[in-house]
Amino acid sequence: MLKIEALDAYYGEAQALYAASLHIDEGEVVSVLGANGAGKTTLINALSGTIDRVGTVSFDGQRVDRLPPHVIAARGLVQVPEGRRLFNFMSVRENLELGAYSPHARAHVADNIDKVFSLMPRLAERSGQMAGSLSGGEQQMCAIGRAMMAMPKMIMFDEPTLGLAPIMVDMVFKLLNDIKASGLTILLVEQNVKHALAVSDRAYVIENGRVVLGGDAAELIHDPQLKVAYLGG
Amino acid sequence: MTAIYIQLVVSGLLLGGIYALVSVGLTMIFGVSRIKNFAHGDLVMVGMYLTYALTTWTQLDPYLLVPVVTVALFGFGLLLSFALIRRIQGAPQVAQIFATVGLGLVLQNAALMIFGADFRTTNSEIAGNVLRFWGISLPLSLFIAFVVSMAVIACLTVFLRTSMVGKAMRAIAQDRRAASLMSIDVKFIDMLTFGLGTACAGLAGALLVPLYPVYPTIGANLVLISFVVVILGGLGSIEGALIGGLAIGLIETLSGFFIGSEMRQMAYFLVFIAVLLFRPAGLFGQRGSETLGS
Ligand SMILES: Nc1ncnc2c1ncn2[C@@H]1O[C@H](COP(=O)(O)OP(=O)(O)OP(=O)(O)O)[C@@H](O)[C@H]1O
Ligand SMILES: [Mg+2]
Repeated sequence: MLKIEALDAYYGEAQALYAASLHIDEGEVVSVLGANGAGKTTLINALSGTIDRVGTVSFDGQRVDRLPPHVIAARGLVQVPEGRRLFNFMSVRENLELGAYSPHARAHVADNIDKVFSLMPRLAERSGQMAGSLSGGEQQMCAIGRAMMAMPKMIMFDEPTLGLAPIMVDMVFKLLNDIKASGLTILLVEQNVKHALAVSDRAYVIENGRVVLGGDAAELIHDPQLKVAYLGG
Repeated sequence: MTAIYIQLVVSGLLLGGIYALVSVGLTMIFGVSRIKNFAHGDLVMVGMYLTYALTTWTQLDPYLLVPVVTVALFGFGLLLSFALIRRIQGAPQVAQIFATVGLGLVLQNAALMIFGADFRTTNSEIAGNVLRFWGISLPLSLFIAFVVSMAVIACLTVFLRTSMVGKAMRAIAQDRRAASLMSIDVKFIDMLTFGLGTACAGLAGALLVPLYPVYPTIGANLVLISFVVVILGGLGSIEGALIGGLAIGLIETLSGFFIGSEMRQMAYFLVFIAVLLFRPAGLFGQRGSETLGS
């Protein structure tokens, strides 16, 4: 589904990702782990095309490393951004509609809103409310729903449980499992390593902008190097 | 005696309606693309000269040419956006100021070369009529300008609230990067917004032609007024531009009558400063001007 080879990414002059190579097969859930500032968000944004990058990225059999963000999203590579980035002064329903902005998703807005609402009934109750006035957990649901509205082939989640109460963290992981069960391919960035590896098939570890480790989730969890990378050691 | 006050208030509000239309264009462009277009008044000037030239050429009533001028300025806006404005999106403030002030100077000098510095007026059969009611009399042209302005602002509001392109504009106003992740082509929407804003300026220009003479630097007054209106109403707020425009029209007319016409600008600047002291984000503004169309 996704194949990355020697991907560099930059913030202006400053390089933040060095020769990253990894792959994700169709239907897989793959975690990307690493300490704060390791380059996880950078990787996701480089894939979405919102920052400068050089390297090879093939998605669904086609090169996407030179495409602008709106085209990449329309191709089905969608992210739930760090910090949610909802349109706070618009209603929940409008946020969901905007998720389905691309022509092929727009043709199915009504059906997909129903699907999102049945998966997250809380959003249905709040559909007329401004997104900015939702609770943190509800905002995260809205951000996930908005990504699903795009009818993606793959979703990249950037710390979807950041700042949420434990009960909401459980809810988000339940959602992730539901989405996984529906067959979507997932790239997951999470601080909560145990939870993340529990839903993942495989995982990669990033350290200082470099992919330093990769393997099966079940094996990685016992790898001493993981702990080292995570603590930034 | 009260008729005079009614006359003043009504004509002030009618004038304010045109200011509101000019300002709506400016505020939309700022809201979506974060570009402060200092050439906005000169685009009104272009609309005025185009109306003048077409009227002289075709001998038609200027009002019949209003749609033509509006569409032409929409096209001109797209062109400017493509050639210049998109290059300064996200650029430092100074670059934006230089580019748009420079654009304004180019437009002024082009007008000077083509039409000279003389005041040009256009006659309209329709504009010659005077409306009389409640003991007051008003030129029909002012009334038409007001009604059209209000109708256009209402349409824009509905467009921003209900159409997908309008929602995309509001989304970009709130979070440009997130909007691009929604597969919104933000650069295309920037261009469209600049076209729409320029069309508003051109339309206002066409409506002003029967009311005021046109000359190359008329834009300088208009851009000042519309920046006052936009900041007063809250940057990026359509509602704010409407209320701000009406308020400035009213203040200008009243102070012109009671204090003297040379004091008009001072009067609205005083109100402007007073409002900003109490509401730094303007009447309807919110921090970061995320409120476009909501
Ligand atoms: N907008 C930016 N401009 C310049 N440098 C940046 C920017 N964003 C991130 N960086 C730098 O890039 C590096 C990687 O940051 P990134 O946000 O990808 O980390 P992360 O792994 O997502 O961390 P976190 O767990 O804190 O979200 C860091 O050194 C950071 O300082
Ligand atoms: Mg991050």
